[in-house]
Formats: sequence, C-alpha cells, structure tokens
Amino acid sequence: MSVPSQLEAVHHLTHGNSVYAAAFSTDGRQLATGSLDNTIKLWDVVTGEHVGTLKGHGDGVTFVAYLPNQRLISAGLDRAIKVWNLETSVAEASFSGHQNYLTCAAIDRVGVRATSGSFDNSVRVWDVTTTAQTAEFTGHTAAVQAVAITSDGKCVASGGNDQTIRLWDVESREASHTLSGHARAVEGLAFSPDDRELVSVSADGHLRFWSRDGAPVADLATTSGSLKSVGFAPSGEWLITGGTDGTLRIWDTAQRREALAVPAHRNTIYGVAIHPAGTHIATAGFDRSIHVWRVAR
Amino acid sequence: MSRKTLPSSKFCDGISRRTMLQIGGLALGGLGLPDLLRAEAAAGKKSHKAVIMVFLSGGPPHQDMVDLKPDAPVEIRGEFQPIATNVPGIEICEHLPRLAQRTDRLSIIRSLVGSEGRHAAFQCMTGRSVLNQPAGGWPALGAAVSKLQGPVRDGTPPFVSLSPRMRNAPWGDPGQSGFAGQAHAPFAPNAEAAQFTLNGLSVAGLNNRKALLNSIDRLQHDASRSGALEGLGKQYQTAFDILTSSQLMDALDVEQEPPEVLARYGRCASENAGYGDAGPLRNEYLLAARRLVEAGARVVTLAYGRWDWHGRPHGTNFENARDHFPVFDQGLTALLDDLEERGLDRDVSVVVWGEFGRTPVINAHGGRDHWPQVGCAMLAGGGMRHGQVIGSTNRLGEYPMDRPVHFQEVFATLYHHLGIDSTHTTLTDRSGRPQFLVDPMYPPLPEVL
Repeated sequence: MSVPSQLEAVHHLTHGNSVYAAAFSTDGRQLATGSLDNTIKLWDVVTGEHVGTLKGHGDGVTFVAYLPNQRLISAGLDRAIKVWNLETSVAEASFSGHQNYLTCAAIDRVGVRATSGSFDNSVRVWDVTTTAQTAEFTGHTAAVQAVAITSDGKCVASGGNDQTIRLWDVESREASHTLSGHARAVEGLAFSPDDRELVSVSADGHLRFWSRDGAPVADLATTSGSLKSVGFAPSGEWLITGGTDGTLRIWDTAQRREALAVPAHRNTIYGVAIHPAGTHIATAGFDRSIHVWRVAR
Repeated sequence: MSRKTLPSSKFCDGISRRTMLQIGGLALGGLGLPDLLRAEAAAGKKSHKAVIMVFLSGGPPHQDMVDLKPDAPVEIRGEFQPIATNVPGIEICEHLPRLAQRTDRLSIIRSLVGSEGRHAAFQCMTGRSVLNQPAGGWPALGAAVSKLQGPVRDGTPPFVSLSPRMRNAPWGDPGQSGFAGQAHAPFAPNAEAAQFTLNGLSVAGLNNRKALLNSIDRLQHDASRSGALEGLGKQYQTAFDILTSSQLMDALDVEQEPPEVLARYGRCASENAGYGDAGPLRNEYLLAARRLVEAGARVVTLAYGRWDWHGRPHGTNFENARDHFPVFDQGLTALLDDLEERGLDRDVSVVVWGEFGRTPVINAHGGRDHWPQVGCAMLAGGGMRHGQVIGSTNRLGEYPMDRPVHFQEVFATLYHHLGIDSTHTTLTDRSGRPQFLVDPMYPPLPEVL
C-alpha cells in the first residue's frame, strides 16, 4: 500500500484520564486503548461504539496488544502484566517482576514473547504462555521509556532517559549493541515489519533509522519539539509518529521524508496504532482522547 | 464531629441512613425545618459579602502560570511562553488566554511565602500551620466567619465546602471547625459517602427527588416508631431538614442553570484528575459556588484538580499543565464574568491558590517538585483594586525579590472584605484563651484596598 496522502477523522473516543496506548485487533474489527484511568476500553472500529472495559490494573495502563484466541495482553504502571480473556473480561494471568513503574512493553508477532521496560532501569523478557520471566537485561543508567521486539522475538531494543538505545540478544541474554545519537531521552522504538530496520523517536524531536545491527541509517528532524510515539504500517512503506505538539506525522520510509502532518490532539500523543490492513490509524493522547483516522491515498 | 452509628440501611436512592445523619451532624446546629421554610419564603435576595476559595490541590507551578521566566536557563524556564494581558506590562502563561484578557480584574501575587510545605489544604483553609495549634485547633476561614457572623439566611449554612473526598485525604480537607465549635463546621456534601456527591445530586438524587423524600418520610416514620432518633440531638434532626430544603439542594443543582451558562463554564470529566488521588477538574464546582453564595453562603471552598506534577510516568509538568490550564482558564473566567454580570463582583471575593509553588529546576522526569519557598495566588472581586501584580521573584523564580506576601496577609484581606477586623478580633480557644484570627503582624494587603 502506498503512503497515505490524507487522513479523515472518523471517531473521537474518550477515557476519563490520559490515554497512553492503543492497538488494533488482528482482524482489525476492534480497538483497545489503555489509560491513566487504570482501565482498558474496547471499541468497535467500524461504529466507534464502546464495547467493553477491562478493569484490574492498579495504576495507569501503558501497553495493550491483542493475542490469538480472544485474548489481550496489557501492562501497567502498577508493574503488572496481565493477560485477559476477552470473552469473559477476566484477567487470566497477572505477573510482575519490575521494581518500579512499568512504562513500556512490546510483543512478538505470534504473541508468545513479550518484553517490558521500567523506571527500575531494567528490561525484561517474558514467556506469555507460562508467564515466566526468561531474561532480565540491565545496563541502562536511567529509566527505560521504550522497548521493541522483532517479529521473531529474538532481538529486543530498549531506550530511555540515558539517551541510548540498546539491542539485546534474547537467546544469549546479552547486549549486542549500544546506539548513541539522540540528544535527549529515547521515547519510542519500533522494528520494521521485516525486522531489517529499527526506528527511534526522541524528546530531541528527531526520528532516527538504524539497521538491525545498530548502524545509523538516517536522521530526520521535526519541528515537533519532542517525539513520543512511533509505529510501522504493516507494509513497512510508511510509519507514523506522535509528539508533544499533538501532531500526527506520516513518514515515507523509502524516501526518508515526512509525507503528512496532521494536528490531531491538544496534548502529547502517547500512543499510535495502525490497522492490520493499513486502512486506519489510531492516536492516543494525554488530552484523554483517542482519534481514529481513515487513511486515504 | 459527633457521630452515632445506626444500623446500616439504605434508601431506594442508595443513600444510607448513616450518610444522611452525618451530613446533618456536619454543620447545621440550630437550624430547623421552620427556619428553612421561612428562608425559602423570603422574597428577594439581599446581597452579602462572601468568599469563594479555589484550592489547587498539590501546589500549582507559579513559574509556568503567572510568573514565567523566559530568560532562565532551559532546565528552568519550561515549555510555555508568556503572553501579554489586558494590563500593560503584565504577562501570564500562553495557556491562560481568557484570564489574560481579564487581568484587569485580578491581583496576581507572585511572592506568596510562609508555606509550611505540607501537602494539605489546611494552610489555605486556615492561614495557619498545622503544628502547635491552640486548644481545639485553628478554625477554617469559613468556620470563623460562621461563628462571628452566623447565617445570612436561615436554611443556608454560612460555610460550605464542595471539596470532594479524596484518596489523599489532606487535599480534600473541607476546613475544620476548630475552636469555633462543631456547629460551624462546613456543610460538605461532596466529602461524604460516594452516593452523596454534587454530581450524584444533580443526576441521580434530584432526578428522583420525590422518591428520596418519600424514603425520608418512611425513615422518619420508622425511626419515630423505633425511637432510633431519640436522643440524637438537634443536629441529627437538621440532617433531614437539609435534605428536605429545596433552597440548599437547588443551589447545588447546577443543572438548573440555562444551557448557555453551563456551556460558559464548560462540562468537565467527573473522574479524578491525574493520579486519581485528588479531585476532578470540574468547573461545575465553580458554578455551584456562585449559586451557593447567592443562596446565602458566606464562604465556599473547593478543591480543584490535581496540581502535584512531579512528572512521568504520570505526565510531565507541562502535559498536566496543558490538560489543566485551559479548563481552569475557562472555569475561572466564567466565574469572574458571571459574578460581574450578576452584580456580585464587589461583594464576592475569589481567591485561588495552592499549598506551595514548584521547584525552579525541572526534574529528570519532566516534573517540578515541591517548593515552599515561594508560590503564587490570585485575588479577584470583592470590590478590591485589581489589575496589578503584587511582589516578584528573582530571575529563576526561586525566592521573592520584593514584597513577600504571607498566607495570613491574604486571610487578613479576606476577613477585611467580610467586614471583620482580623487584627483586633479574637475567638476563644478551648482552653479559654483568646486567639486572633490572624497574627496581628499581618494586616490586610494595602495594595488591594
């Protein structure tokens, strides 16, 4: 699919407090959003109807993702990772290990291996099936604000307030590379769908491309002031970023250029998500709202 | 407060018997249904002096709000730009544009000092430190005024607090009666059980008022038969009087306002702001405060939002400010306009403040921490001289440069507005010692008189 040239706002959804995370279901019919109001809300993508609320976290929800078999995984500032049965709205599993706020998480393509980052400066890897912690990576010297994991679950990337990005080999449980370049905290990370590239966004307002082995590829500046969130389109041809200026930006990954900038929120965009078919975008903001956008080309 | 536990029982509205009795015990000693009815029958409303106190729970960032430091180093100056106001030479935050156009009706204190650094409403409610209190404890402004001036009209308590119950209880402190006596404690409808909230009244309670009254009648009948109310005293009886008084209930029911008035104040989320441990950011409270003053309240206090912005992961100081400032800007502007248009701006003083300021240096998580060294406040209305800044801080917003203003000077000013000479007026504490309302060394602010 080509890079979007236009966005149409189709739904304006709200939480009682700031919204930190959003994810589309694998079939694209449902959207999940996580909020500082400690809940996860489920929405019908077509109608925008609120179809359910998951309650159980004791603090803000920082990550949501759909798993196979009608399940959903979430992570929260209460340090807990939870696996929910969406048919019963009950948390089937809850596990934790971080010693401070759990700020970010990611899941591999098949929904088996998850990773999380924390204010305790650590990065952890989890087996979602058994809920066991399979690795703990230490090395960051300040809070971890962003993590990403390759689709095969073999490589984890992490970044945070120490301004570095670290690549970790999950199998050997060792750091493979430390990437420097951002001048302020690393706020968002995402691997391309083919796992060949990593992108990072930072409070320095820059979007950087890196090769899988950590070599710098491109450095793109914005006028956003500070970038907070990033996500790849399933095709890998474009990606989106959100920043403290509330602007949603679409980037052409092949051309390495900004393709579209849309004023979207009145406050920082903490979470972005792209529909599995690339037809819709969801943005989650500190302004307590979620916008769902239809992509036009 | 004297509380007696009765067997748990709920009305069909979900309001427990215990809740209702506690409400009665809160404030209204001496008032009865005949008084309420007389008050309701009174035609015309004579204006009276009153104070609305808006407590910004947690401590607002003075340097991001009304004392911006654009020339300070980046680790101090923050993300916001100052904008001009309608008073030449005075600038405030770019996210307060409405207030910027009404600065001629504000006195901005940039040098508030004397904070004891405690995360609590106490000092803003009493002007005093929580430490070394006299016997019985310092009364809140409203309690002292209630003791000295009594009700404006029977049926409306002189002291009302709209502060909701909070997980961080000291922020939701409605203001204690102290040595003024329990009869002068605030009527605090939002501080009690969850069913009895302002929101609940307007939506759930009042919509089913007839059923509620029927339930009260039933309870009265049952209680009379069982003798459950015997010996509970007049305060408990007045609980029923309050609940059957449409005057007070009507004042709390902001839904009676025309849609354009509600829109002017803005409809806000009822969920607690920020971490969830403080109150919501509700402009309906500001509107309810105006209605309560019109109904006869002398002092209305309310806690508003959550301003304790230490930074991520619960949002940076600036993200929270971008969340709170526009709502606050709209709400306070609406209140000021409303008071002026209704001819109340000379009679009603408004004070807006928190327990302290915030650290000049932005911390590693994008937050600002506690800074009792200096804070800010805003005064409006009350027939005072406005359109001015009082005091200043140094280049980095660390400490007062000139004209430090103590909390108690603000209290002296509010008492003065209410017609009470705080430098000579005393109340007797529980040990029999006279206590000045304000330390005599703190006179009213000459700048605003």
